[in-house]
Amino acid sequence: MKVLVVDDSGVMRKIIARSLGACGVTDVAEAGDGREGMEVFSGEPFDLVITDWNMPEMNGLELLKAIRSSGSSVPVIMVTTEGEKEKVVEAIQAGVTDYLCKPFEQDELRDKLDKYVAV
Amino acid sequence: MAGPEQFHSRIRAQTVRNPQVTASMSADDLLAQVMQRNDKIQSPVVVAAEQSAPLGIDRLSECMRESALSVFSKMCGIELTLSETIKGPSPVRHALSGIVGMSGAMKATTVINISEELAFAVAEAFTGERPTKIDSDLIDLIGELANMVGGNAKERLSTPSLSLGLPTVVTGEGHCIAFSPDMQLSTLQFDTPHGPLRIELGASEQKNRS
Repeated sequence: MKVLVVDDSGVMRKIIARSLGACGVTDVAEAGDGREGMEVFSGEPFDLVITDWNMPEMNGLELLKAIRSSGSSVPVIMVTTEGEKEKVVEAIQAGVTDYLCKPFEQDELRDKLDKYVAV
Repeated sequence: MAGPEQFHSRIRAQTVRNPQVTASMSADDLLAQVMQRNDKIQSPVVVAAEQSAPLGIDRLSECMRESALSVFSKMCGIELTLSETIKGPSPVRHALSGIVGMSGAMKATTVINISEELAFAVAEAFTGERPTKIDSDLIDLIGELANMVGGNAKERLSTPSLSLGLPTVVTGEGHCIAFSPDMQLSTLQFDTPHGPLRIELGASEQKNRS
C-alpha cells in the first residue's frame, strides 16, 4: 500500500503520515504542492492520494483534475478547510473520492483512511 | 520523466492495483455528509446573527471564538476557556503570532498569539513530538493553526464572497502588529492548561448590506 500526501504544510503531512502509520501504512510519499504532487504521482504507482486544497503552484483541485485527466481512478481524499457547498460540489464534479474538513478529530481521519487502506 | 505511453501505462496499472478499494460513496452521499457537518457547526448565535446583525467585528468575534474552541479541542485535545473579551488590541503579545486575513464581503485580520509553552504543547499534540525551541516546523504549525482557525471561522460566518488569505507567522517576544486604521478591534483572551492564548481581531464593517 503506497500513499501520496500532498500539502504545503509539513505539520499536516506529519499528522496524516502518523494517522497512516496507525492504519499500518508506512510507505508514504510526500509533496509540498500540487505541481510537485503530480510529478511524484506520475513517477510511481499509488493506491491513494490525500491532498490539501489551498497550495501554491498548483492547488488540490487542479491536482485532482490533472490526476483524473490522466485517466487514473485512484482514490483521492481532499483534506481542507474549504467546506463551502460550492467548493465541495466543485471537488465532487472533478472526481474527488472523499472529503474531510478541518478541524477534524484524528479518529475521523483514521476512519476515512480505514475505508481506503487495504493492508 | 517517462514518455507519454509509459506514463499512461503506469496510470492504467494504478487503477487496477487495488480493485477492492474503490469509491464506496456516491457523489450525493458525499455532498450530504459534508453539508451535514456544516449544518452542525452553524450555532444558533450565528444563525440569529445572520438575520439581523451586519457583518462586522461582533459576528467575527463570535465565530472566531467558536472556531478556536473547536480547532484546539478537535485537533489538539486542548480545552480553551474564554476569560475576557477586550474591545481593542491585546495589551500583551507572546512569542508567536499566526496572522491570516479575510477579504471580499468583509475585510478582516486575525492574529493568533500564542506563548512558546502552549505552542510546544500544541506541536506535541499534533505530531507526537515536543519541540525544544522555535524552529521552522513550529512556525509551520502556527501558520497551519491560523489557517484552520481562520478557515473554520469563515465557514461559520456563512457569507458568500469571503476569501481567506495565506497565513503569515511572526516570532519574537513583544513583536508589534499594526491593524489597518479603519478597522474595529477586539481581543479574545483564553486560558489553557499550558498558558494563555490571545486572538486579536480587526474588521471593517460591511458597507452596503443588501
